[in-house]
Amino acid sequence: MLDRSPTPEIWMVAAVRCNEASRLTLYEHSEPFAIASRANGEEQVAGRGRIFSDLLFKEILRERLAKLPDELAMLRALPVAGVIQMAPPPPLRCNGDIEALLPESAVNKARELGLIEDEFSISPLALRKRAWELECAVSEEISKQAGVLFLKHDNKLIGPDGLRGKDSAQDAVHGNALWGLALLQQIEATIMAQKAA
Amino acid sequence: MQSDPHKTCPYRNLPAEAYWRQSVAECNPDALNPASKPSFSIGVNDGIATAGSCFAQHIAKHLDKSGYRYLVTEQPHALMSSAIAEKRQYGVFSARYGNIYTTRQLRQTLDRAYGLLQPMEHVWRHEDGIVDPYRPFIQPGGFATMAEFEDDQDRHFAAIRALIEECDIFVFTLGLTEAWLSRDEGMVFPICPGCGAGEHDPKKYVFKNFSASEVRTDLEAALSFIREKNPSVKFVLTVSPVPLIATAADRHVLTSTTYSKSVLRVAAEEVSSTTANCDYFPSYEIITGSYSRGAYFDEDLRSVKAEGVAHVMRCFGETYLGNEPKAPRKIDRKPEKSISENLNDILCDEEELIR
Repeated sequence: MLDRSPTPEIWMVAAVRCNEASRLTLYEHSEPFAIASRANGEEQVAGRGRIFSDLLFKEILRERLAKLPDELAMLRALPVAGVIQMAPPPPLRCNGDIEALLPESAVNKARELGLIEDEFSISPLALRKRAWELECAVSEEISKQAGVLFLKHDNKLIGPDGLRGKDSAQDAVHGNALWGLALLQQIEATIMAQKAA
Repeated sequence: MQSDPHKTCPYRNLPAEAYWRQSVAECNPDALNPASKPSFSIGVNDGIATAGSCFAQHIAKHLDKSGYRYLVTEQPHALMSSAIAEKRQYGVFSARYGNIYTTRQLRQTLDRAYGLLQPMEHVWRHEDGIVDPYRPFIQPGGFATMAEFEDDQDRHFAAIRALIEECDIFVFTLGLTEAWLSRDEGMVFPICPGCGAGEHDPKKYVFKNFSASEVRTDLEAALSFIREKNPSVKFVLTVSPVPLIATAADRHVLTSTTYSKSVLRVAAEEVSSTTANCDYFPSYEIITGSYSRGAYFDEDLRSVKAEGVAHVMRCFGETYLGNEPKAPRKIDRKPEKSISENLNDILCDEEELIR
């Protein structure tokens, strides 16, 4: 159990810049792209269109997360027992769910930012998943360098494929209360494990 | 007895530029422009393609900054920032072919882009990535997967085809006569395998120093090929003034440099004088001419100073872009930073030979 005494120790749980994979891949880009990876001698291509290697995509992510090391260092300097940076939320399993959960305001904002045209589509699931995995890897790498714990998603709300269902989503990107509760339980477990270690 | 023994001399009454004393020895060095009268001019709407050795990048940069239509048909994906794109040599030349040092390499690049040549040796596999032997430094760290490599190569070839078919002016800078070839296929590489990329194997690769007739034949073939695809294209040929960084010929590098530049200069002259709408532009003479007393070379006597590049580009502007000739002024000989000191400015694969 966590210390619930009148002067409890304080942990900082952060979700700083946890949305880059979604920004880059939720909507299909006007020039569609795919991410190619090599593991165990096998090549896999996630998505369609122009092919990036996972190394290039990570370089793009690192550049977009360029301020994250300083931001985490600032949190680390606070008078807290520890800092936990959460992994970005995994993508939704079904493209139809995303379309159903997309608020009109988000679509309008994306149009305003030039991310999408009038007509747009949701990126293939394989691409969204791969982009999310790579963002997790980059975020974990940066967190470790900053001396911050990194919390990977590992709870009952994620299916065996590592993705989320509509029941745990508030909108196309963010989790709902169910998702939040699962995260709180996971945060507690992480802190306890850290204290035990 | 003749009253004037020079009365019938054909060297009398030539234009001033024909006389060394007036146009070189006594000319303000800064105002010298040895370019011949051009066969054509370049308009602001003309699409200009560049290719060649390191020095060709200066022309590309100048055109890009001068409001002319510098054609770049191979663009980075919008997700790549300019920093990421620059590291991958997007925009360094009109397409992402890297340095094309020899005329054989130019010819080979065109043949490959149009699917007429498909070498067996198409990749070099390094521990950390896949390298394109024919543009080994365009992708730092190499390609992670064959899928990425093949996709990129397809796009590269399509970009070359678009460039060749769309450009109005094709500017090619001849750089070297020395090259390394694969023994089996005769493919030429922009660098010696084993120098920065690939692995050197004397059984697989052989040194070749092209002759003037070989350079001319390759250049003519390359230009004919381009004109076949694009009948209205005009050509500007230049020779890089940058000396060899090293020679694989068994002799002094200075001798090799003289040979190389002489051959390239001869080939450029012969081809430009026998090809319609094809000019020779004297970058080489502007930088290396004795009138400058070596002032355009940096302390390594190889890198071209910014003021030398500026002189070349000013002459280029006066000759082709309709710029007013610069008013003669005293040349400022204070030392300037070498262009090659800044890696972001010029990318020379050849420098891998001495790393």
